[in-house]
Amino acid sequence: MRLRAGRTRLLLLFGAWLALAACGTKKDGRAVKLQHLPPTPKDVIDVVMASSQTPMTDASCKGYGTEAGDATIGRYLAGFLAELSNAEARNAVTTSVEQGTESGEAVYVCRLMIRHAQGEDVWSWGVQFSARTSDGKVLAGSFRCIGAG
Amino acid sequence: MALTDAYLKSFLGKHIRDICALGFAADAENHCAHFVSHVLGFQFKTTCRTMVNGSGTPGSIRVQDVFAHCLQVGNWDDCPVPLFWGLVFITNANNVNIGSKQMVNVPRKHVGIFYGGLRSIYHYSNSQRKVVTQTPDEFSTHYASPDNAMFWGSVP
Repeated sequence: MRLRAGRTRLLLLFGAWLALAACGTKKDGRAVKLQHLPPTPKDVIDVVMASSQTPMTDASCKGYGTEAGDATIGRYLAGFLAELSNAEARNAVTTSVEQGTESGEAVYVCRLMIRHAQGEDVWSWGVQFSARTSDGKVLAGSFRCIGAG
Repeated sequence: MALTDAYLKSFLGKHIRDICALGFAADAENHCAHFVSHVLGFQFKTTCRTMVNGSGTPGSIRVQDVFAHCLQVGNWDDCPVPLFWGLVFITNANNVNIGSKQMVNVPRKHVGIFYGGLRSIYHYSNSQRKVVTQTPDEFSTHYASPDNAMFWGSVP
């Protein structure tokens, strides 16, 4: 009985952690927000770094890490950053911001892309998220994994 | 589906902007699966419409999705002779599970279409920014070893 209660509590805690991680919330409970509106490239990168523990639950992300077991946005991006070690290649981290709407709210649609080009080894993978234009708060579950190839 | 040599040749020399009506055509992207999908009409999973807003028929853009969509896959050297055309993939063999038709999303992976008895390969060269044709031997140097293991796939 006690074992079952403990397991239930553990499941509830895990569920709460998942919900927090998926809601654009930092570990200390504060919402992940863009520092400036409209956001600068540094603001976009800052939000992505603060969201590293966000689970790769979206269909665009699940199974698209550079290792089969990758489960967070941090691991997903780390896999591509780790491929930039060749100094002779053309590498870049680029950001872009567009205005849009999500669930009826005005948002900034922000993208961060990791790019690499060396001969035929050409690729570009990254993430996209939405943040409210009113206060810069990152919308829950808005992280997408984008890229081709 | 019926695929002809003439149809494949009609793509030679074309930039992806001349193939994708939606306009997903940045040269910084790997368009290999994107090209194959527009030629063969693949519209599953992530498509060019995920990347850009535009009108027109979208195409799938990820190599591992195309690999998983194949009816059958195998090592290139085991490609069955009666298969007149199909898909050819190149990547590190450690990233591929033939039995489960799964490929890990490593950056260095590429796909093209092989056709005919000589297995001529049509694919999008991201460095040349156009559709090219190569022999299998030439295609095998697309990436350096160990990222140059080749696989075949048959198309539904």
